[in-house]
Order: sequence, then structure tokens, then C-alpha cells
Amino acid sequence: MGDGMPYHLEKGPLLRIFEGHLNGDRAKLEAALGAFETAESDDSVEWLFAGSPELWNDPAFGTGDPGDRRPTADQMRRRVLTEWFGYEEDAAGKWGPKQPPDPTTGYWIGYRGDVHRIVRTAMKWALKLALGTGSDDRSRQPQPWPIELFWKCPAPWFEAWVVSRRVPRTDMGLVTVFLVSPSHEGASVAESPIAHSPVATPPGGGHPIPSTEDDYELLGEHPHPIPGRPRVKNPVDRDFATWVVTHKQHRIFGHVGRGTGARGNGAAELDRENYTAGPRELSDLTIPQLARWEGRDEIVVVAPSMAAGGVKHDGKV
Amino acid sequence: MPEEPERTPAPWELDFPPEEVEFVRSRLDDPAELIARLRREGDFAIELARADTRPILVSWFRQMGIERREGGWSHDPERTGPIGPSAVGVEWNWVGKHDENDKEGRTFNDIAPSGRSVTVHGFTLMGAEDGRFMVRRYIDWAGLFAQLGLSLNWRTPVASEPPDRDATEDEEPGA
Repeated sequence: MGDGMPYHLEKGPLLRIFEGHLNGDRAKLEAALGAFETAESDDSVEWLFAGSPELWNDPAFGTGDPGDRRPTADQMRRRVLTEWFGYEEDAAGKWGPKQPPDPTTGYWIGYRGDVHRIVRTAMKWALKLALGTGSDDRSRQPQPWPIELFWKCPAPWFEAWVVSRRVPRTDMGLVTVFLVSPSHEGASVAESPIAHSPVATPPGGGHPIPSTEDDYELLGEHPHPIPGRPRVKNPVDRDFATWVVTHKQHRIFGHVGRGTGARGNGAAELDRENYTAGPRELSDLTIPQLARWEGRDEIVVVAPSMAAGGVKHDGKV
Repeated sequence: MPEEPERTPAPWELDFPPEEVEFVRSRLDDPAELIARLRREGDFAIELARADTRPILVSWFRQMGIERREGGWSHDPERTGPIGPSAVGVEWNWVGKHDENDKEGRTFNDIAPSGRSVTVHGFTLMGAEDGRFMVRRYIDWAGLFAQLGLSLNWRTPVASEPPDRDATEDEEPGA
């Protein structure tokens, strides 16, 4: 969760902060696992407060001072609780599912489900995999495997994927958690991965867009698009990176539907897509395909800025 | 004289009373008489609206009764009849199941058969447009997609440029 989500996959500052506090030595992960197990037995969201005690004191969060545009830790935590989990706080300050429940959960569009329990279960399993809990050889390893987090949007319903793998010829491995979510209120996606804006959230609000903030890079483009700004690092030498590989631009196009035998990019075909009622000849009845997208121009390799959902080359926030 | 190649009948022709096919075909380019008859004879209009849509629907969804409703194509007489000075409308629905079609093996948009029951709601407007007989079918596609469990992704595609730059690019030259 950064300044919005202009791409389909995101790490961004909040998940990077989570990663930073989730990972560590064995004692740290065991303590976090204990917090998840307690929360599970209490059926509470307490892990979000106690799972990593220093998480919400991270200096990357805003101070709340005038002029500090960064969201505060409390604001971000409340957003997770209300927007993601659909929870509400009672008079005693205890968080739980909204009563009576809304038709849809949190700020997800067209979806109702127990996002909190999905996330809690996934994170607990990720911690067990990272620790090798129950393994004959790994449960005594001093260093747990690192855990990394991603958010993928959209999907029809919420899922979390916990993906683990050993790194060959080492004692280590990697646990990756993909939080796969429906779309959410106000969501958009940029038709191009290329950044033209210095900030992911343009002044005056509006939808998030790709930005040239830290550590954006369009592979192969030199010098850096911001005059005077040096390239952060040789791309292959980055310690952290997310790269999106796709067409430089995407446009809606139209063509005649299946079964007609004709295809094209003409205005008449697009009209058929935009006005499915007709007029048509008898028996000329086809299934609307909604918008059809065409990838245009060359294939580009882009590292989104952290503010737009990417990650800084050194993993810092 | 070489023989004329045999014409492949359009799907509607195969679902329409054979003795009336030529009457309709011969008037598609000059439809005044056809439209007058459709407006005058309700059953004729219903038959044509049915023939226009049913062969396609049956290739998408198996005709099957659901929840005590009879499967197949039916019309609503309360919302069927002449419209305006020169058109006729038929409200109809199709009841079936999103199952593999046993004849052709086809299904709706070639998506995997879900076994879900579907009711397709539609309204067919028949009339003349630019001198030719044409139909306008107002079909509740969103309702049909929802019955099949299909969903929109609800992420608005937007330009990657800041909004002020969008406005500049969208302006007409010389505006």
C-alpha cells in the first residue's frame, strides 16, 4: 500500500515496512508466530498490534505534524482494519467484524469474505514455513528463511498465496506471500507502466499514477528521466527490485466477435462493442466482450517507484 | 446454364415457418410491407423475434427447465406489440443451463460449462433503418454475466500522465 496502486502488482512502502519488521532472527519470528497463534486462539486481530512490537513505531510513518504528508502509523493501521478487513472499533477500543455486516467487506468491490482470517492464517503459515516448524533439519537452523510480501489486484475474491522454495546449494530458502484481492473503491490502473509524473499522487488528489520517485527506472533509458538525477544503481546489482515487463502502452480496440469470421480495428467494430443493442441484421447476435485491450509499442522493462508500489534498490523505506 | 451454388440459410430461417421465410427474405431491403404485417400480426412478430435469437441462444445454453420454469424461449404478451409509427417490439426470455451443448459441443463464449441455470432477458425492436429491415436487441448482458459468476475487474484504466497533461493532450488541434 503506497500512495495508491497504479500497477497490478505492488509491494510499496507499507508491505516493505511489514517485511522489515517481520523478518529477523529465529527468536523474532518465533515471537511473531506466538502472537499469531494467540490471536488465532482468541480469534482476535491482536497480532496486528503485538506481532511485531516495533512495527508501528517505524520512522517511515508520518509524524502527524503539519507539513508531513506521510500517513501516520495509526492511520495506516486503521486503514488495514477498516478497508481491508472491514472491521470496526467498539467503545472499548476492541476491533472486530462490523455489526451488522455490510453487504461487502471493507472497501472491496463485489466481495464479502473474512479477509482478516485469510491474512492471519496465511501469515502464520508463512512464519511456520520460514522457521521450518516441524521440520527435522530446519527447525534447529539459527536463521529462518526470509519472507516477502506482494499485493496482486484484481481477482474475483480474496486469496493469499504462500509460496516457498529452497535455494539450491544453500541452507536457505524464501517464503513469498501474495495477497490477491478484489478491486477496491477508487481503484484505477495505469495504461502505461512508464512514469511521466514526479509524484504518484498528483497535487489535488485524483488517481495514482506511475511516478519517477525512488527508485523508478525504465531499463535501457539513459540518462535518467529526471535531469541531474543519477541512476540509483546498476539494475542487476539492486538488492531489491520489482520489474514489470509489458507493452509501453495499452489501448482499447474493437473487433467483431467470435463466429463472424471477420476481424479488424475499425470504428465500426468498436461501435459494435460500445453499443451492443444494434441495429443488426437478423441472426447477427454476438456476445459482448466488454473492453478489449491491445498492447502497443515496444516491450519495456520498468521498475516502479516505491511510492507507486515498487521497492527501493536497497530495501529501505 | 451453370447451377446456382446452394445458399446456406441464415440461422433464423431454420427456426422460422418455412412457408414464411421467403416472404421475410424478399422484403429485407424494402421492409414496409414486412413491418406492417409484423405490427398487424402479433404471432408473426413473436415468431420472427424468436427465430432471430433462439438458434443462437440454444448454441450457448442448453434448453432446460429450472426451478419449475419451463426451459426455452418465451415472450411476454404484456410487453409485445407495435411501437411508435413504424416498429414492433417483443419482450422475451430464455431459460436454460450453461451446460455443454449436446449437439455442437459449444457453449457461451467457449467458456467452461458451469452448470448454472440462466435466464436471459431481452427485448427485440424490429423496424426499418436506412431503408433496410434491422433489429435492435436490448439484452440484459450484465444480468446474464452475473448469473454465470463473471465479474468486472473494476479497475479503471487511466493514463499514466498527470491529469493536467491529459487535458492538454485531449484538446482538439486549434481548440
